[in-house]
Amino acid sequence: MSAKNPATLIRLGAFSVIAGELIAFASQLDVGPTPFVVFIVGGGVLTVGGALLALYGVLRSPAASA
Amino acid sequence: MLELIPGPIIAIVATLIGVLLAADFLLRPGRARQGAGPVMAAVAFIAVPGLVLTIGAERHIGMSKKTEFCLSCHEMHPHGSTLLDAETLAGKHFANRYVPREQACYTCHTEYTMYGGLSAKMKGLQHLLVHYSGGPADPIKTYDPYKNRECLHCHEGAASFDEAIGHGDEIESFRADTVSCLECHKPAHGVEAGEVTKAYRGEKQFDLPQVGAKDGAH
Repeated sequence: MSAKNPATLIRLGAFSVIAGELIAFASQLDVGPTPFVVFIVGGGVLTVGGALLALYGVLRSPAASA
Repeated sequence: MLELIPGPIIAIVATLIGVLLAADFLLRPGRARQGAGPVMAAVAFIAVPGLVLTIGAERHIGMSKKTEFCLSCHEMHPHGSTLLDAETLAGKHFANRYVPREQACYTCHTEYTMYGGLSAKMKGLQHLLVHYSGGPADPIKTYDPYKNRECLHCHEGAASFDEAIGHGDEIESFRADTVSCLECHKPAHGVEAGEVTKAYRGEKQFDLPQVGAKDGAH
């Protein structure tokens, strides 16, 4: 399971997106600066980073033959 | 249409869709380039996460206008406690419901931190840094002198304002900020030096208004 394997990149990215979206949602359950920071740092960074990683993996995946 | 649906429901649905779509790629990464795979990838990793984060940011910015948000920081407790002191300008506004209690701070500080331009937002981030690292200035001061605009957008044109002695003659000075409303109407909060530090360190407790969901009940 190489880190350069497109499937691995997609899995890592998807996992990060799931974690990021859940953290982003959970941060909305409370009011205050700390949830806001959690939203930006946890939700934002994990989601955006994961999405970029997954998309890179998708682009590197071999196209299906007809 | 969207405003008819409560924000939490939109956030829950968007998050659920986002998690399910991403989970599909987590379990079956091989479908990324098969059939509708690329389109689904764009939806799962661009459209839906963008929607989830936009909804979240909108909700967080909305929540940060709440009195509850401001008073969640200990260093703001001295200022928050003055909302209960009818001798202060803030307290008079709060007691008489001149400001909505849920957004008492924001109503009079509309261009503070997150709600102004880029420089104001950078100052807002600086406040977070100060909150978690060093400690606030004591006494806390606004960056710029308080603008009469914040008072006039409610009071100008009101009969009680127009009929008050001196207001009519000075209205242009008020608009131009050459005479501050606070010169006569003070103190705005009346927080003494040292109180902010005591509150930040937890050395003194302050009575705070209850402005949660139960506010407005009998």
